[in-house]
Amino acid sequence: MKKIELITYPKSYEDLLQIKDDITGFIIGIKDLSLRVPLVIDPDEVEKYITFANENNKKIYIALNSIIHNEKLHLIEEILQQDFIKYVHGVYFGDLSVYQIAEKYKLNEKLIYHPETLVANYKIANFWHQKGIMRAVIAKELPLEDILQIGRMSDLEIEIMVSGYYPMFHSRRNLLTNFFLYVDNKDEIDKLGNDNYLIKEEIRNEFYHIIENENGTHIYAPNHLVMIEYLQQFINENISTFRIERQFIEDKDFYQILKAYNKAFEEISVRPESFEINKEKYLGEIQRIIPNSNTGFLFKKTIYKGGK
Amino acid sequence: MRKISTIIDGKRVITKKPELLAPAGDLQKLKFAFMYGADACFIGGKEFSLRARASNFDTKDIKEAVDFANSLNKKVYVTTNIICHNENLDGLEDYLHSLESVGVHGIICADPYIIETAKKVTPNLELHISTQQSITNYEAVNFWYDEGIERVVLARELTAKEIKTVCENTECQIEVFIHGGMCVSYSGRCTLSNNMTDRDANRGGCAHSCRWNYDLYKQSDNEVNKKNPDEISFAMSSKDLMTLEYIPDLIEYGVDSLKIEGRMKSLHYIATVVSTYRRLIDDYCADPDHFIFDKDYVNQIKKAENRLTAEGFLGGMTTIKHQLYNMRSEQPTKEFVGLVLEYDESTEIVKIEQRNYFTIGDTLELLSFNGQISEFKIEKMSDEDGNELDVARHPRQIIYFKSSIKMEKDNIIRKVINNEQVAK
Repeated sequence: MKKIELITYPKSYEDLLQIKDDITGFIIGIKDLSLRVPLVIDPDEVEKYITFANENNKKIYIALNSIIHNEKLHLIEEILQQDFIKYVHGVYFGDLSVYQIAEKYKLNEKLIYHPETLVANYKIANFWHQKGIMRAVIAKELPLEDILQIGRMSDLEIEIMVSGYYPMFHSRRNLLTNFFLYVDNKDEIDKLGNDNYLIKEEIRNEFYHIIENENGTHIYAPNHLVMIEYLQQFINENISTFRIERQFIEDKDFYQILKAYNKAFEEISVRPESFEINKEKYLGEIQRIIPNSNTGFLFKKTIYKGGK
Repeated sequence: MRKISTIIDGKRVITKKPELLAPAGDLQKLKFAFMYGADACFIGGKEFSLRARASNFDTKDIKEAVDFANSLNKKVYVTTNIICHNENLDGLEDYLHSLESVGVHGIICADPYIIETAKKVTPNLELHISTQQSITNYEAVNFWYDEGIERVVLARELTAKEIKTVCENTECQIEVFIHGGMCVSYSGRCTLSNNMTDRDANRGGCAHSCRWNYDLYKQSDNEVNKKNPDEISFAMSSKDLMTLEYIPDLIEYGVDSLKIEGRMKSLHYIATVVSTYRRLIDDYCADPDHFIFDKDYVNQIKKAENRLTAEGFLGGMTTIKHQLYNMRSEQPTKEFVGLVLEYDESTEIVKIEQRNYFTIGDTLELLSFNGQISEFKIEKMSDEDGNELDVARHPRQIIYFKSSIKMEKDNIIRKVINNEQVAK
């Protein structure tokens, strides 16, 4: 069995100390180049986290996953030429410019393709394998059988998000600011940047988190994703990298979720048969912490070709 | 640098005219788009295409479309722009072979599996990267260029300045959206529809959830308060794209193809929008240094445009003037009332098929294929049996009248919309 990786995002250096025993690796963002990453730092601060990773035997990843417009290309180029790139384990990207520049510096093996939606079949994963990258993060809108098949058929290492609220929309537009200008509520514009706006569609009884920041506007799925019951199946099909998101979750709840997953993985590696018996207990624990948890698209098939 | 002009007899003329690319939801629309000035059309086949409801072309239709295009020295591209799931992988090679065998010029795609397969099995098909890949910079364009791709369709989030920089830094053909609907999200990165309706946005099922009405709430402590007034919903929807005033810039940057969106749009819309951009491009290219932007281009588009429009991101970051807050729509100023079937020059009798209500005394206008408008008054008309008519009220009714204005088969006849009449 491949070594299991459990990855998440620290919010700060102190927070990293808090979560280090439950993770094998962590992701940090770089100013101006990262999307939806809780901890975003200047390039000159990366060193400190590399030292931490080395001393604690953890993997450190940086996220360069923004959608890049021309004026930021030089920043990507500068980052990829930094000395510290040698010491980070991997670099997440969602925009092909990062690959194009990284290839120039022979950094393909450090790259992790994470475009949120675009890795939806095993042939796409294999395309990226040919490009020599380290791994790809698969789309969240896939049923269980597809995920397992991708794990089985892909030559590339596959990463999957197993826990948290996931993004489902990203606009370059400042949709909250524009709306508050429209309704002449300028006071509210000054308060933007908090994570506490929600939208609800007229006939659907669901709330979606909506955030506006320097990258535009982001909307998240209404339910908290929980895949803890299926970890063993993923591992059996060669998927060994698991990521936990923490946005909109209180720290104390997040720490418990992380512990539950870490415990589940430990049990899978030493007593897989007992995990099979206990997996519902793990699920129950997560549901107790976040009651609106569900399995996302695992058992929900989306329609190919609406209109038919 | 892209060389786009040359000096002839002391006058600069544009030698690299961009392709005008139009949507076609069916064969008739395709023929209209070509006759009204499109250089190329994009169509959806039965497989692997987004916009499933606008994908009406089976292989026989595609062949007819291509043959028609070839007869005019024009091109047809087929959208194969879904992101496949494992279950969609089968049958691709056969489908691509069928497109190649009927002479399709290129395919528009986003899934690397489709791209790689086409490179291998159908080398005669040109490959265009769809806007579903949300390509926003020249390095990403060059990634695909290095993969052997002929053309990249840029994301609709680029400003004119960004498009210029892209053009300066790549040899790849660049295609830019110039007119029609806009995604609110970066295209291809949105799963609102998947999450809210189980319809897969990247596999042709987009339910346009970004155009719906929402209530906006704010959570503070344990309270959740509504933040939009009762009478105004929170909306994200965007006005449609209209870029007439930016066309000269896009031509000067050396953009290779200018794309109109809207495979679901009507014949009237296609003919009007295509002929207007055609005339604008030709006017500019003939004498770019003395070109004056005439508001008439805008007025012409308004004759068929049923949505509010703005210039999207071309002028810079979008603001509230680019958003659509109360779902208002635009009333086209002209209505499509008849389609010319025949014109006899010796007798000056025109035979038309009725499309909308009109009466004796109405002032109508003919939209010629070259975009020229000719007004005339309808003074006398008759049906197929020679009976005189006061009104043309039956859809598809055959009607004859006399006109000294020369008409051609498939010309569009329209009239000023009488809003009171529409309200009835």
